[in-house]
Amino acid sequence: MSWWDIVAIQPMTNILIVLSHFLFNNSGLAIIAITIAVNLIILPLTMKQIKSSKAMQDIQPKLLELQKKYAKDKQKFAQEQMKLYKEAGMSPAGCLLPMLIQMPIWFALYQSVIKMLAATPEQFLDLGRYLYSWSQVFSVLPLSNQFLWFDLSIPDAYLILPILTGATMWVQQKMSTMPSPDPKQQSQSQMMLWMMPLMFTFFSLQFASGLALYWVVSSIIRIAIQYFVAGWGGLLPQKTPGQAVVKKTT
Amino acid sequence: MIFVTTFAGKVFAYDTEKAIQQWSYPEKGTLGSIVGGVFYYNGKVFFGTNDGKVYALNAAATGQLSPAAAWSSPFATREKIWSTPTASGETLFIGSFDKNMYAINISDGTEKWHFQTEGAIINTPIIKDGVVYFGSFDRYFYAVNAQTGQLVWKSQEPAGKWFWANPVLVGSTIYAPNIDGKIYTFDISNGNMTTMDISASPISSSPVLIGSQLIVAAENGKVWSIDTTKNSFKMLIDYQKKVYAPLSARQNIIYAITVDNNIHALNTESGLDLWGPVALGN
Repeated sequence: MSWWDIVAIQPMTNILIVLSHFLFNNSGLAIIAITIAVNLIILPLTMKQIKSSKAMQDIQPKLLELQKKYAKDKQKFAQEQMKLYKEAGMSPAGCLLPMLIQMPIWFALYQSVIKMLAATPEQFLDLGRYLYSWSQVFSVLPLSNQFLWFDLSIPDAYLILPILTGATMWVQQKMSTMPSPDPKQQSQSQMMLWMMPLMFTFFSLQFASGLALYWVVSSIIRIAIQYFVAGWGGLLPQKTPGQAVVKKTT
Repeated sequence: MIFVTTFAGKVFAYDTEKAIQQWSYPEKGTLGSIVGGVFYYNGKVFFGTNDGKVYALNAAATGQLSPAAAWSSPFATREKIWSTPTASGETLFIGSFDKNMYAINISDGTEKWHFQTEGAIINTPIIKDGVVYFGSFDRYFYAVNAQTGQLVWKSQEPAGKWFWANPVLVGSTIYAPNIDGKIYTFDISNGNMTTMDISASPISSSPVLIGSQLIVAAENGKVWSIDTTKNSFKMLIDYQKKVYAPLSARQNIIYAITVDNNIHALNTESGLDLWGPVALGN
């Protein structure tokens, strides 16, 4: 096993299996529980990331002004940009760093869910290599893959989970995307708003439903966090920052 | 006849002369995936499926499209079945992922008894002198009375991991491979356990016995020979490819299938790689 397997995948897989043991031998509940637990652990980072993103969006009009003002002097623009960041109490890495820290945790969780839902003999043998010598781990296996109306180890035949995956991801993306005064950036945001949910809907149609369940629960949690930190954001109609407000006079 | 099961959930029968298909079951459509093999016994074919059912067919169905079922309905367990059944007298024995070893009346497919462990059972049990011997995913090895389903003995200590591959009986000793890479031996009279630390790699391929030599393939492709008279072991060959499938043997030659779908033949006396790899079809 690689160091990544030992440090991340193995502990998370065993925790998932033990959680199933305590949650009525239900792997669906275990996936929901660990997704919530992981989100709670990284909540400070997530909040920091959302706040940073919001602050970044708030200073967009000022940034655009600086861009225009110092279009011919890049050095001066960089100085002014840093000054603006400092005044707003943020660093450019503020958005990225929490995300970078969270990424390995999400990858580990994703890989552990796949491991836990072993269905074929080869997958089971692979899972066997990752098990700790805990009695609960051995007594609960094999896990029941049935949860609600679907089998967690195969794609949802009723297409409900893939649709939910795409819908919740779209809502979450929409909430975190604010209109940008920069048309190029605005167009990129619009593309991402649709591309990511469509991509994950497609994945949900191909992969085990357990993963789709994990994506749906993750998105719902992030929608809730996003709402409490920054409100409905881009989900409600917004004025484009920097857009002139024309007062109608009669 | 030769019987072939598929993961797609179908059983085929071929004649041994020209390998012409005699029948398939079911004639149309498929059953649940079949992971274990078929067991032929007294003119009937028995097998379990991934949807937890045990089927019995009348094998002599030459000239027909599909054989008749021997039972009015398949025997149902609560979880998937990856085990190959075996029989003794009028009783069929098969393990299930629902953690039970089942004894089924061959005549009508009704349950005689079931014995519950704490883990899935996927290996084929050994039946000897009225006792059923098998390992479980709960890491224990069991001896159960074949008539009553009462526990005779259970290993005192758990193994490192799952008992996956089929155990082999040599004299009064059972050799049971484990996913932890060890071979556990049990005295059939009292369950006294010893351990042979063969490999760091899991052993999921069922071993074969040639004379007093037990041939074991580890997942990493290393094939070992255990001299059961001394319980000493030596490596015969390293295929350097994963081996999951059970070994088979004829006289002193073993046949191993590696994960890249190639078959190899090895002379266990000389340790010579006779031929292979020969690619199998998909």
